[in-house]
Order: sequence, then C-alpha cells, then structure tokens
Amino acid sequence: MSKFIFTIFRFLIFSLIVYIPLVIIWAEFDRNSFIKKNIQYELTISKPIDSTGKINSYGHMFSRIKELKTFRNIDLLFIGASQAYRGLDTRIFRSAGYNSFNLGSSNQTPLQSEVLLNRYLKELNPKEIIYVVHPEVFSVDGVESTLDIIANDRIDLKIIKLTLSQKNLKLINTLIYASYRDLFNLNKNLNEPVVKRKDTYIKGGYVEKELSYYGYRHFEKSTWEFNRTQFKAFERSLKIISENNIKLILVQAPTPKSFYSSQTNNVDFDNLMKDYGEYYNFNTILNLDDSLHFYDQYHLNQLGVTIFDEKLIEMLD
Amino acid sequence: MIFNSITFAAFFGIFFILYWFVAKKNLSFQNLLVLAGSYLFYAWADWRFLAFLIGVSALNFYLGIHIEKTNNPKYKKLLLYIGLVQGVGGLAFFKYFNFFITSFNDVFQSLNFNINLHILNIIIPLGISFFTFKTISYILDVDKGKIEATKDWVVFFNYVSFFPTILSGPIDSGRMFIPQLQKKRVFDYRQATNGLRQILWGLFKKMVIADNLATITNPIFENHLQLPSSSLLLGAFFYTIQIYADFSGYSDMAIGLGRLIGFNVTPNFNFPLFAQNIAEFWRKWHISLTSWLTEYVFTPLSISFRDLGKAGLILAIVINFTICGIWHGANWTYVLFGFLHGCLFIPLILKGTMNKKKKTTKNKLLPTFKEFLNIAGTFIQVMFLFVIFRAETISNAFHYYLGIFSRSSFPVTEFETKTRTGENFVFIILLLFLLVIEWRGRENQYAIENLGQKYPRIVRFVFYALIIFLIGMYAPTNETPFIYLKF
Repeated sequence: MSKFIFTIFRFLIFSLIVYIPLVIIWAEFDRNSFIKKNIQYELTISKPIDSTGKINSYGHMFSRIKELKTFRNIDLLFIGASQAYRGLDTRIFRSAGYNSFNLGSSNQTPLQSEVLLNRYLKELNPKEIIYVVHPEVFSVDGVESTLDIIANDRIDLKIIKLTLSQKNLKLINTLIYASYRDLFNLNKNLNEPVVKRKDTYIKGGYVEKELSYYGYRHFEKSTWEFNRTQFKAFERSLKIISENNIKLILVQAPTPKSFYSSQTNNVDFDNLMKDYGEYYNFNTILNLDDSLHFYDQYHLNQLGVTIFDEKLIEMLD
Repeated sequence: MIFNSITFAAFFGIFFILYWFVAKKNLSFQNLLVLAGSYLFYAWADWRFLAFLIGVSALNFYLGIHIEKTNNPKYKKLLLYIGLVQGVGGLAFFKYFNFFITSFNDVFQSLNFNINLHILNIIIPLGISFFTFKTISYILDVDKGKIEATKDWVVFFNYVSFFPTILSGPIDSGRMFIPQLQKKRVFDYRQATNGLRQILWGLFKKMVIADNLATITNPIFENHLQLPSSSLLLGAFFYTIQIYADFSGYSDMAIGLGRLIGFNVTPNFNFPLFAQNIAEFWRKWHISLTSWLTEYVFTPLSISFRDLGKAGLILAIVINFTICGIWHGANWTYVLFGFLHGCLFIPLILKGTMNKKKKTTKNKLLPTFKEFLNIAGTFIQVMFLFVIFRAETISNAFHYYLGIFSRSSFPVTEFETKTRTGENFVFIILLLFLLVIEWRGRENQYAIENLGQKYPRIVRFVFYALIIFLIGMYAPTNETPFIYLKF
C-alpha cells in the first residue's frame, strides 16, 4: 500500500509539472481559437495594429481595472453585474456633482464583488456605495465573472481561493495561464480598444451601448432559485462595507415589464434585500416603456439609463 | 454523485482510506463498509428508493435461502415465482406501466374505442434494470443449483447494491461476484494501478470524446428535419462513437473502481467498434447484458424451439434481441432497435456462421482489406440502427432515414463549416487518437492496459499526464450524466 501511495503521489506531482507548462504552451500557441477550449483568455491584435488588445471581456474590465488606479477618494462607487456598468453612467453623475467610479463587471455575483471590494475599497475610499442587485446574480455559480476577473485583473490568494472553490476546469486553466502572464508582467503593454463592437468605454468605468431598442419577447413564468453561497458572500461584502463606515444603498435596476413580471418571487427578493439595508427596486419606482427604454431583457438603453440615473440622483440628493 | 464529479472523487477518496486502512483486517468490517458506501452512494443519487432497494435485497435473500432449503418442488417453484414476479413485476410497474397504458389507449383509439386509461406519475428507481437482473439471475441459479444460497445478508445486500455497478452495470452474476465478497480482500498493487489506468481511460472516453460528440449530435438529432443528408450521416456516425465512448467509459470506471477495492467486475466491452459481423458485435458490446440474456432467455428458448431447426434459432434470437431492446426502456424505438438487431442475425444463422469466431489480426498495425470491409460493414449496420435507439419516436427515426436518402448532401453542413474554421478540427484529432489507441490495445481488457509497458515508467507517466491534460482542456465544464443512467 505504501508503494501505491508513493507512486500516486509521485505521479500527481509529475502530472502537475507536465500540466502547467502544457496549459501555457497551448494558450500561447493558439491565442485566439478552438484548440484551447478550456482556457478563456483571449488576446488579439486590435486596431491600430501596433497594440495588442484583450477581447475576452465583454464589459471592458481590463480598461476599468487599468483606469481604477487613477481614482481616489470618490463620492460614489458602483458595484454589481452588467446592470451596474451599463446602467450607471458616470458622466451623468459627474454633471450632478458626484465623482464616481463604476466597478461593475460581466455577470458579477456577490462572490466576485467580495473579491473586488477586498482589493479596491481602501484605494477608492468612496463615501457611498451603490450596490446593484438582481435576483439572477444570487441564483448562478458566478463562473463567468470569475473568468472576467482572472483574465483582466491581478492574481492573488483570494482569487485563487475563489477559483478553487468553484471547481471549474476552465477557471483553473485560465488561472494557470493568467498567473503566468501576471508573474512575468506580460500584460503591461496591452491596451483594450475604447470601442468594441457596439460598446464604448466611458471614463470612470461606464460602458455605453449604441442606441437600440428592445423587441418584445414572451417569457414563461419562472421562479428564481437562490444559491446560498452567493448570499453568504453578499453578507461578507456588506460586512466589509460597514467595517469601513461607508454608506450603502442597494438598488435593483429596472428591466422590461414583460421579463420582470414573468418572475414569480420578486416580492420575496425585495423582502430579502430590505433586510440587508436601504433598498430601492426601480421596477416599482419608475414606469418605463419596454420598447423605448431597453435594448434587451436586462439592460436599459441610453434613454432609459438617463431616466434611471436622474431618478437615482434625485433620491441621493 | 456521478463518477466524473468532484463529489464522487471526494467520496471515493474517503472510502478508499477507510477501506484499506481501517477495515483491512476484518472481512465483516470490509463488507459492512462497502454496504454503507453503496447505500450512501445510492441515497445521494436518489434517496427515495433506498428502502425499495433494501426491500428487494431482503426478499431475494430469504427466497434464495428457502429455495435451496426446501425439498418440496411445488413450494420451491412458488418461491421462485415470487422472486420472478417481484423482479419482472417491479420492472413492469416502474418502467413499463405508462408505456403499456398509452399503447393500449392508442390501439383502442385506432379501433374507435376511447377507453382513456389514466397513466400514473411514476418515478423510476435508479438502476432498477441492473439490480433486478442481478436478483433474477441469483434466484434462478440457486433454483438450478448452480450457486449456493448465501446465508450472509451483508454479502447478498452488497451483491445487489455494489456501488460501482448499481446504477449502470456491468451486471455481475452471483456465481462470479458473491465468492469475492466471501473472501477478505487484500490490497494488490498491480490490481490497484490497473484500476487507476482503466478509470483514467474511462474518464477520457466519457469526458473528452462522448461529451464533446454530444454537442454535435444533439443539435443534429433535434433538427434532423431541416438538415441535409451529409449532416444526418455525420450525426449517426458520431452518435455511434458517442454512445460507445459514453457507456464503455462508464464501464471502465466501474471496473477500475472495483479493482481499486479488490474486486474483479465483469468486463462489459471488448472493442465492439472493430467487430467483423453483428454476432461478434454483440459478443463485444454490453457483454454482461448479452451474457445474461443468452443464459436466461436465448438458451432456454432455443432449447424449446429446437425442433424447428434454423427457424427455431431465428425465432429465439429475434425474441431475445427484442427483449434486449425492451430492457433499455419503455419506448417502441427500443423494441424496434432490438427486433432489427435480431433480424440482422438471420443471414448468419442461415449460413451457419453465427457462432463462428472471426480471426482477428493480432499484433498487426493495420487490418487486412477483408477485415477492414467486415469492420466497416458491421459498423454501418450498427450505426444505422443506433438512429432508432437515439430517436425520440419511430416516426422521428423514419424521417431521419428519409433525410439521409432523399435530401441533397451538397449543402455545407454546420459541422463542415466549423471544421473549416477549425472549431471541430480538434475533435477529429481526438477521435483519431481514440481509435488508434483502441485499435492498438484491442488484445487487452481495455485499450491502455499494457500500452507502453515495455518502455520506462517515465514514458508511461508522460502518456497518462497527457491524457489528464486532454481531459482538463477538452472536458465539458459542467457535469454531464451518462447515457445509460436513464436505463
């Protein structure tokens, strides 16, 4: 038996020694396509041709993290999923006298919010935090968002711990490759294009989508099924915020009525959020038009963003 | 808790340590631990039928003892019938009740009688087809005196619920498995490393080959009405390899897990994709089921029909394979699948070559041209019949075939487009890797059993590490269940 255990141990070490370089070689060998199925870390040559850009983040996370270092002692910090970075326009808040930064990211769940708050809260030192909550981020595993952070931000023990806890092959492979790039500082000269597809990155972390409108869709009745892990992470995040004596406002951004009304437990979610502090559900505060103020089932278009942000500013004042 | 999950790895890791470090000196303790592990594993998958599993085990345990003990032939027969009725009745109720009802309704409706019998909301106990066949074979063997009824309930309950095999087989016979439970298992280095290798190869087949092929075949079968002939052919071809990789991968893992804890589980596959005729295919495919059916269905039937000569043999084989089809599930597609497989034997029976074993090229790099033609011919027959197996209804299967033969094959398929852009290119390479390794290892119990044994250990380690890398790079990121779990 001892021989067996020794052989297994030796083989595991050996496999690790083979596995890690192979992941790096695989990712380097084929930077942009199918061969590296379980690595989500894409680099591409952007225009102008002399700069290399990161394309795997839909939400300009690379630019946001790079710009974050220039922000200190802000009035407002926005966190949350895409409804945060696509719904809270830093330009509108600046014109109302608020110096703000948007730390939202694609599909950001409380697990990733916790990592980001741990990393950047002290540096940004905000007076107030607007935490954009949506039932869906409390219902998913958060793999997509962890990938976003691994591929676009630095690697530290907290993100390693989060990755391992999520037990996902793509996360682990991406973490290996990202750690290698981080270790050798290979991303220092990378730039992300300001305009990607229909998205434009705006100073302060907001991403503006080219104006488009939502086409009506019917949704079957369904119920959000919440993930306890996300609620635990959410509670830890709130603790970090309160320990730093920062005012917190929880906000649910508006979504089209056809989508919102298809969910059967919206009231339960509202009640849960109210227990955590000051909370506003803008689905019940604003009366927006599905076909005029949204571009998809989750996101406001720029017309909707303006109405939402102005109302929020009015409430903050 | 499926084999290819982190939860199972953690479960088995703890079990392995307890089994070899805590329980190693005492047979009873070893068996009790296996039983506790099996019930935990089963309850984790679906706790609602744990009591049913225990009840079935208890009933058949006592039936076995009393069948053996009694000298009264009538009482013996009664006990045997109770066991058979419980086994077949359990299957009929849980698996086929609604199928019978809907089929009755359909038949009467076609005769303009609306009897409208109600179906029941029945949940099928996991693994029922597998553990029922074990209990049936056990009491039949005890009745025939082929096996002594065990008096140790822990041994018998373990035989029925052994966790590596309870959900999808292989279906071990009592004659083969019970003696292993009656002997203390001693750790054997070679057996354990062999088990690990087999698990690794099973994981590769399941997670890299089958799960990736599923992403190609599922959309093809779901949208077969809109797709050109070339796509449908590709779908059938890939599904045949997918189901082989999925089920043989599962069996490899089950056998490998058994080896790690000192058991020799019945082999279930013997490289069926290289079979040279349909009879050989069934000697190599789902071996534990076909052996069971041969012993308890085909042999008694062929003896009963022996006066009919070749016609009797044909009748026996067609009935046998129709039952084999029905065993898979309550759908006419399975019935037809089994029936047609039975029909494919007819030319072999008429030629008298059904039991003739084909000589295979041993230790040769490539098959001869004739062997290649035989292999390809058998593969094509099997591939076409797997369309029925995969289709939701017979009508779907019919339209699939119609699509293959009536539509143009010229429109570029989605698969071809993706291959051109490279997306599927990697799957083709992986598929070739599978086929080459399987062909090279075809003389062994599983493909990589003796691969590279003549080379230094470091070379083998590199090969195994490469397989782990391929799993890490190409396996799906979510847990995907095995196809045969639904049976």
